[in-house]
Amino acid sequence: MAQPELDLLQGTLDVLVLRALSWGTMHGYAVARFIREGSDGSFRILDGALYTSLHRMEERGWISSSWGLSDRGKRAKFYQLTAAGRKALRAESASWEQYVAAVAKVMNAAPTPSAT
Amino acid sequence: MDPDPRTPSWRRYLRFLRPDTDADIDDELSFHLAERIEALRAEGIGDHEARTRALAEFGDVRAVRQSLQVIDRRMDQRRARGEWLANAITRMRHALRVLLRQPGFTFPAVVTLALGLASTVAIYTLLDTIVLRALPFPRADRLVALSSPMPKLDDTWGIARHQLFYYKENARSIEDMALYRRNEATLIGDGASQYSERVRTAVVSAGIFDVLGIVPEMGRALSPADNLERTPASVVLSHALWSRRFGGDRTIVGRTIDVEGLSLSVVGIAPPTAQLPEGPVDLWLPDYVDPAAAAQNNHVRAAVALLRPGYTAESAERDIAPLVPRMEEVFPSAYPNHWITNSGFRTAVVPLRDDVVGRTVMRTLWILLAGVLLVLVVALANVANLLLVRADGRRREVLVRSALGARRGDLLALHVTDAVLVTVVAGLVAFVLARLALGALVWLAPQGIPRLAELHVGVGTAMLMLSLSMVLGLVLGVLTARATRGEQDHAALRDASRGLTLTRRQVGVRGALVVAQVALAVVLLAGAGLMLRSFQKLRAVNPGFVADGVTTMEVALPSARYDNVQRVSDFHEQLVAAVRGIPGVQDASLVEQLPLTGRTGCTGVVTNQPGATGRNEQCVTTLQVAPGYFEAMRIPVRGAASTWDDLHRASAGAVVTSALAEVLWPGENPLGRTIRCCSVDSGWFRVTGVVDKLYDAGVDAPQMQAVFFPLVPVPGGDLQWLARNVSLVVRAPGLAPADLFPLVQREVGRLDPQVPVTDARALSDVVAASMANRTFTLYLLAAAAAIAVLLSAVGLYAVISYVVGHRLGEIGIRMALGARTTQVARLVVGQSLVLALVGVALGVGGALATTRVLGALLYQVQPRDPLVLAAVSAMLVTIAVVASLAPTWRAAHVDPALALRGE
Repeated sequence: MAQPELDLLQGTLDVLVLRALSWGTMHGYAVARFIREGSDGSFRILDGALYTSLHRMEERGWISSSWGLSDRGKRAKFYQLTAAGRKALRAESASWEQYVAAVAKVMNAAPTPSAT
Repeated sequence: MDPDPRTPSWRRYLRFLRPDTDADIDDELSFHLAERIEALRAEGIGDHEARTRALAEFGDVRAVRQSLQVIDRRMDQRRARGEWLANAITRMRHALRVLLRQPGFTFPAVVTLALGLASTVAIYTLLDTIVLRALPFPRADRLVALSSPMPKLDDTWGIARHQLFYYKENARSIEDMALYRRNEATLIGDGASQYSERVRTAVVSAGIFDVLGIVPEMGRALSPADNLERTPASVVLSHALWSRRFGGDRTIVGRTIDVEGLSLSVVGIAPPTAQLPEGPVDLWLPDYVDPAAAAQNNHVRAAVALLRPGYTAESAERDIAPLVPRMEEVFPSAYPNHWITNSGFRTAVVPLRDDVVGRTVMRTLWILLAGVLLVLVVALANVANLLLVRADGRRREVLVRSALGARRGDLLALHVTDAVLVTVVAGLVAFVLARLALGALVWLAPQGIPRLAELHVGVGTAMLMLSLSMVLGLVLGVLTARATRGEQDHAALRDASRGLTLTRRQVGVRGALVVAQVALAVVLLAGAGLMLRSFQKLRAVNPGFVADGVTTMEVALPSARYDNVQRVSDFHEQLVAAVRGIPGVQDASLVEQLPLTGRTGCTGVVTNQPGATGRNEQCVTTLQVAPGYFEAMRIPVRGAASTWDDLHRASAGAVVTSALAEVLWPGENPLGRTIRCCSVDSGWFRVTGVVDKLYDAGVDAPQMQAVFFPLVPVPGGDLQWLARNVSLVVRAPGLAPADLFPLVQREVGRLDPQVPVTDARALSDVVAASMANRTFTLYLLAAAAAIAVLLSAVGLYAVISYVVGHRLGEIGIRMALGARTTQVARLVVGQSLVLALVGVALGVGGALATTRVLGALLYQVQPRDPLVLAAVSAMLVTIAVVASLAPTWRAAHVDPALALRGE
């Protein structure tokens, strides 16, 4: 496992989860569905990683959890953004957009003649 | 999410346990998988296929589950900790509010406990600094002091120079050894930038640097070669003197300084930490210690040795013991006539710390610690009592709470929080008090208390105080909770709405505490009383001279210029004449050392005209005195003391004490016998006078056996006995020391401006200083006893008030039935008296059993002195009556109607 890649992936996943939860309280399965459908299945995230992300962010205080009943009456754990989480989402999405823009710029750049 | 705090308590408990956290994770993950499988089946995928895909999408279930467990457990722990803290803070805040609202409870509790804690910590700090902590030397645990007790002469000497070489060579237990003497010298200024000053000197054998582990900061230490010079030629400066007087000038090494008129070459600078066992010095001078010199019976030096690893002071003493009798053969010049066997001479080895601190001081401090621990126990009993009284007042609150389902743990926490809060606040107050008290102690302490300079009240003391008060708070809280638990049943609930009387148990616990307090106070007071009586008796002893109206000063002649008998003698005669000429001065004279300023050592004196017993020698105090000394001190002399004329004619005689005369010439007339000091060439003196009772080491020591020789030796006599540093005694009743000092200084300056005069004090202060150790102990014990008495008074008052408060109803009935005020008063005072009397009886028993430990500190007072015990008992009974006055007044003025109506 290469550490930097994992970090990038983890960070990215966190933003996606936070984004999902910014729509409202939902359980882990709903978050997974949101990401799967939102990306039109264009990238694949292991659902397990999603739960690690959820629990880790709960520990960090970005989200809080409580037990409740799902639409179909089953006992499920619901997650909810905290104030800190909202703040983190804003910061993360800003840096995410910067990152995307920077990558796009490099990808679209034409080679400039060099002095040598 | 924190719903109703009652239902989830089991659940919350369970959640701290592993299975529940894990089950939550399992629930969450299986919910996910079930949902996903359901969703896939809804898309028309087969059961088995849906299951496989859902698992594949999830990844490694077991690994995920494990990492979630780690995260959640961490989270749970943190949450539990936070919850506990938040609870504790809430409880604290609540308790603080309640305590502040009840100053009548809080104030006495905090004050009494603070007094107890402060005295305990103050004395413990003293004990720690002086007794428990190692001396400031490397290998301090292997350092010992050597001395020469002689049981048959009832005396103890120091160590002689030949013993140094003999023991270093022959004693297996001794790795290294050194001799030293503490002294003073005049450091002579150049007249311009530097002034002349008296400095503390250590006159040492060179080995002391190795033994004490002193490595010079600059230059070199003294070497054995330096010890071969009869007059010192080299010197090591202390760091402090070097920085103060020479401004830290590094070029000083190799230059010379003027000490007593001798030009000494500075060979090194000692490090700042260098000191003698007894304390810091300014100059390190080489003693004359030549292995080739003839051995002399001159045991005046202090000795410190470094033991080889594995030896203790006791085993080293056993190791040295066989070497001692052999010295009669090895050093016949020093020990003629089986001197060692006859005197019982041996070599004692004690740990250096015991020697420096001294048994009396160690014993005193341990006694005081026991004393203040008693005070602390009294204070604790008080606070426990107050807590009980308060717990009683809160009984309803507690009962309601427990009826509402508060658990036993919650109730315990309630009591513990209260108690800890009280003790911690008391601890903070006590820390401030202890600091102040120690400052005052250092200021009050006599000079004889060693190591006080090392005293330091800092973080360590604060931590000690804090932890001590925390522990006490916990203990008190738990005890209070236990004591009240028995009352938390339904019977108590009914009773709490105010019964007319108290249960036996309620009175019993509180009464027992007060009885214990009174008993402890009796023990402490008895100790202080015995010390006080000793002190009174000591003050009443006549030291043998009249101290009032006498001022003393020290005069030191620089040895280089005053190098012969005539010059010294002329100066002394002129000085005495000049001082006598000062208006207001009745008498003046000189003496080698003031009385009662500690041991003058002991020197062998010999008579060639022994009495009927044939005894011709005795080791005694020898003092050189100028003519007029006995008149100035108002010491009556039978016969006559020498005059200046006798000195001029070289026919001066000696004066002996009757205590010595009784030894050498029992029942015979000592006048006219001849006597000789120490060395052969000091010459024979005729005994011309006898003086009676005189005390030397202190008025509590035996009477002095002494010979007073003339201050000036016979012409051609040994210069070793030339007294250059003498004390001037001036009888001038109308002049205070401070007034007399400049007048004497002027006269001395007229005779020789380079001679310093120092240390003007009243002779009565010198006498007082000789009792200072005992005075100090008395003060401390008296303070401890005073605190204990105060605390018992508070305790009695609290209990009687409590009892009266609860008996108001009963008293009201009695008064309604016709009881008179006096009867009611008798009822209340009687209750207080019963408690006090039981306490006093127990205390007297305790005092009889324990005051024996005061032993050596007492003077002509029996540890079971009935007068002291009676006075102490009477005092406490009086206090019991006084403490019950206010509650009695309250009881006697009960309005029966009001009291009966209830509440």
